[in-house]
This record gives sequence, structure tokens and C-alpha cells, in this order.
Amino acid sequence: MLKFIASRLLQSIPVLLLIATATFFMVRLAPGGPFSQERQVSPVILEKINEHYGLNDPIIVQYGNYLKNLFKLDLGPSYAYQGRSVKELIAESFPVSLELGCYALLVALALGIPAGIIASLKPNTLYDYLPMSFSMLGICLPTFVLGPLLALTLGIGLGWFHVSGWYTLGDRVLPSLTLGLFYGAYIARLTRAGMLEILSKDFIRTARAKGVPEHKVIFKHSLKGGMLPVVNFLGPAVAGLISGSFVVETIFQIPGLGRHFVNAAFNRDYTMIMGTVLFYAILIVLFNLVVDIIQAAMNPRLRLHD
Amino acid sequence: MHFSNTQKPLLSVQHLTTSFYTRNGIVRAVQDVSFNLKEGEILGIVGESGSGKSVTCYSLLGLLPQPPAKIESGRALLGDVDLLKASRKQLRSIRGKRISMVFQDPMTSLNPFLKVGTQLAEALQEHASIRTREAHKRAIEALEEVGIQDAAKRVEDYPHQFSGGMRQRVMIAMALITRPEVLIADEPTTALDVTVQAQILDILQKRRAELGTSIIFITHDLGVVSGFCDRVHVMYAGKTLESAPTRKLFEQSKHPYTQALQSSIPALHDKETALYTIPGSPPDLSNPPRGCPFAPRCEHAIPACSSDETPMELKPIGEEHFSACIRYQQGDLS
Repeated sequence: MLKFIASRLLQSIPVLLLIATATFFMVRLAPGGPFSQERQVSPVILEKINEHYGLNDPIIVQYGNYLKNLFKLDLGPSYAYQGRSVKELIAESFPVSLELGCYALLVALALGIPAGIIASLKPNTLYDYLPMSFSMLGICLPTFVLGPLLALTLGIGLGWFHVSGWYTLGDRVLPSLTLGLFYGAYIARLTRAGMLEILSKDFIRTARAKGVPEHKVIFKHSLKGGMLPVVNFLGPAVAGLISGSFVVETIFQIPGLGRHFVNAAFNRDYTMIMGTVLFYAILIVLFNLVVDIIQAAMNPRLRLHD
Repeated sequence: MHFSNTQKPLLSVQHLTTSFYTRNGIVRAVQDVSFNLKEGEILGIVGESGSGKSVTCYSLLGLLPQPPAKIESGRALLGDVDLLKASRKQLRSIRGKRISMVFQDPMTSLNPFLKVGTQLAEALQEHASIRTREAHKRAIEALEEVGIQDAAKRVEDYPHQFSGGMRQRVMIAMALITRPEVLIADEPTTALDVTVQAQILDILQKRRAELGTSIIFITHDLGVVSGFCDRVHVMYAGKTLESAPTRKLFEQSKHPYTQALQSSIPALHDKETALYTIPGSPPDLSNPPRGCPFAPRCEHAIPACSSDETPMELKPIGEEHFSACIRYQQGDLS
């Protein structure tokens, strides 16, 4: 098991390196530079700034320097936030996104899994159509529609929650719901599909023929297998959730990591773009590994016999 | 059907009719099927795919999804209980306790997510208030009884760590662990290769001798039937065509379909001549033919066979021997 984890982590190093390289050259292909939007800067000063950050060096030299710093785990200074390093900015905003992501994940699982199970038990009846139409709605409604909608109704209309800010526990509700409902809708559909697949298997008939009561047929015999597609989806989904959503963080004015992804790109904040992309890539790699471990624990056929 | 035998049957199925309501019409899968299972008897139900033999047995245990399936009429008496009218709870207390099943494909019939021991002990734990440790012990014993080596270790394994034949042994051990009165074996050897088939049949035979379990053995293989079953019940297109003790059925069959089936067994056939095949194919059960379903393919058919005026019915034609062929019933053929 440890060997498996170690080899997977080693395998991820070239992947991350590839992502770093691709991102590095791609952001430099975009027109403009970190300081081209600065107002009223004389060409001499601009030249000085570029000089200071090493942006006048041949691109290959810049690349070499970047990699060198990367191996020292130094992501460099942010070009847009003066005097702050990329590492600092991520360390400051990630906990906020992580917290929001965890709440949203809870909402998504708590709604999605039961809805999916109920739908799968009586397919093509009202018990199936009702949760599944809500799920379709949830998938189709983008967060930039659902967010303001929730803010309008629960926030302004009923006055239960603030519509922006990240101070009290109540402030967590609307963004978590916005994000969680969207993911929950997906999870409901995946759960339904997974459960339907398992419930049609021969071994379910065997269990019923043994006189196993229906609730045990569902929870003991079907759930593990039926959850596999959901677990699969959760790897990248969790990475996406906890690394922050630009839309939700902008709507509700949350000081999370999600905003940095987009703002860094607008500002041509090269180092910040690199930092956020790599951070996100690491999360994806990590959670995919976690998913593989969980799946092996759930599905004995995937276990390594050594 | 009236049996002259005075012994009260363990399981008596009378006029069972099961249909499937599908988009393409009503499929009459089982029509007016009756049979008795005596204590300790092995009853073979023989028929082609789609002849209704499996549906008959699934109907008894309430294992058919309803809808689309619907049990239209009939009775199935196990002692005083009519299985077809029993409540869900009542049925559940019978399934796996008084009537167990072994299925066709051992590769897919065991739950890949649960340990073999867990699955073995499950029926015991559902039906008897028994401690986990005791159930575990019984699971190991059950595996030993079907000839699996190193059973104490094997109960900790998952199904994918067993071969096909071994899994079918597990299925048999699982079905018999509660010492049921009736075992329904739905083509238990069809998915296995020939040498393993023989082993599985041996185990069934041996366990039957030890426990006195009555067996309903569903198969399409007449060869297996001849060596294994006490009585045979021949089904075609959802109906029973002939029912007789095994020897009689093979030596003096009173139905052209059974005879045609026997002529199609490669092993009983002269190697020099081409193998006999029954012309045509079984009828579409959403639009079953009138009268005898085999008449369109039967070389002895007369117009009366396909008419409504002579309804097809299983009638006694000899001692313990029943045939649905009107030409035998009328004495035209013998």
C-alpha cells in the first residue's frame, strides 16, 4: 500500500512539471505583461520594473530561474500585490475556500446521495421523476444565477442571511448552498445511475432469494458498489470545491482563493497564475490518489495482493 | 392434474399463470403450469430458453419484478401456505429458509463487495437468531461440506478469488446452510465446463442424500436430467407438454416434442447420419398460437391440434405419466 502511494506520488512529479511548463509559456503568449496596465508609468520606470523582476531576460532564462525557485518551493513575488509573495496570498485565502468547500461538499452529499438512492429504488415513478427534475434544474442553473437568486430570496426577501461578506456563521449558508446544490445535483444523478446498475445485478436477486430484507439489500448489498461512480467524481470535484469558485466568491464577496485564479489572469500576474494553477494541480493529483485508495477499500477486486 | 399417489406433496403448484406486461404487448411466459414436488424428490424441469421454466420458479418465490410481471392465477402450496398469496414478510421468511435457490451463473450471482463468509452466514442470521460467532462457524462448516479446502481461511476471501466451479459450490453451501425443505437449482451447471458440471452434480446429489432436501432442477440439458432427476416435467412455450418419471420419459415418451428433443441429443445419435433438428423455432409468446404451441413444428400435427375446440390439457396417459398431446390422449399415436 505504501509502495503504491509512493509510486503514485513520484509519478505525479513529471505531471506537475509538465503543467508548470505549459502554463509558463502559455501565459507569456498572451499579449501584454504584468505592468502594461499600470497608469502613468514612464517607459524608463517600466523598464526598471521589468528589469527588477527579470522580465527582460530571454524567456528560456526566465523559465530556468522559475524552475530553480520552484524546487526551492518558492513561488516568487506577486506582480499585482506589491510586496507580497504568491505563497503568502495562497496561504491566506486557501483556508477560506477550504471552509466554504467543505460546507458545500456536506450540502452536496447530504442532498445528492439520498435523492439518488430514492430515485433508483422506484425508477420511472414519481419518486424518480421528482428528485431527478430538481437535479436537472440544479445542473442547468449556473451558480451565477442560483447565487443571486438565493441572495434575493433568502437574503433580501426573508432577511435570514447577509448577502455578502464572510464574518458570521450565517454568512456561510448562502455560498455553501449555491455551490453545494450544484454539486449535489450531479451527485444525485451519479448515485441514481450507480445504484440502478447494481440493483439490476444477479447478486441482488441472490440476496433477495435468501430472504434478506429490502433495507439490507440496499445498504449492505448495493450501496458500496453503487457509490463507486460518485467516489470517482468526488476526486476532481473536491479539488475544485476547496480551491474556490470565482463566481461564488465574487457574488458573495468572499476573500477566497477562487478570485485569485481569474484576477491573476486579468492582471497578467505571471507568478500568481503559475502558483494557483500548480496549487490546483497538486490538489487534483492528491484527491485522485485519495479516490483510488478509497475505491480499493470499497471494491475488493481493485485491491493489490502483494 | 390428479396424482394417484397418496403421499401429500411437499410443494404443490396448481395452474400457475404468469405474464409480462411489456410495451410490445402481453407476453404469456407461463400458462397453466401444475406440478407436485414430493419429499426427497428431484424434479427436473426441462425446456428451451424462454420456455418459462425459470419464470415458473421465480414466480414461486416472488422474485419477479411486478410490474412488468404479473402472476395471473394459480396456487403454490408449501404446506398450508400459498406462496402466490403470501405477504411480502411471509415470503421473505420462506425465502432462504424453507426454499433456497442456486442460480445459473456463479460468476455474477455472488456479491463481489462482500466476503464469502458474510454471504454464507447471511441467510442464517436473517432467519435464525444466531450469534455472529456461531454463524461464522456454520459458514466454515458449510464450505467444508461442499468440499472446499482450507475453509476457515477461505471464508475471509472475496468471490473473485474463487474459480467458477468453486463459486457454484459456495452458492450451494449458501443455499443449504439453513437446511431448506426445497432447493430450486436454476441451471446450476450451464455456465460451467463439463468436468466441473459433473462435480457440481455430485455435490448436489451427495448433499441431497445427507439432508433429504427436495430439489427442483431446472435445465435445458436432457443428458443431465437422465442421470439426476426422479421425475421430469417438459415445458415448451410456457406450457407443460409432458410429465413422467425419468425412465418412462426416456423410454416411452408420449409427446412428439419430448421425442424430438431426444432425437436431437448428439450423444444418443448415430455418428454417420446428420444430427436431427426440430424444424422452425419456438412461437412468439406475445402472440401464442391456438391449441398446442408445438403443433406448427410437429410432424404428427392434425388440424385439431391448432384449434380452440380441443383445449390443450395435461391428462394422465399411464401410471404417473401425463401428456398434453391430444393425439396420444385419443389413442391415435402410441
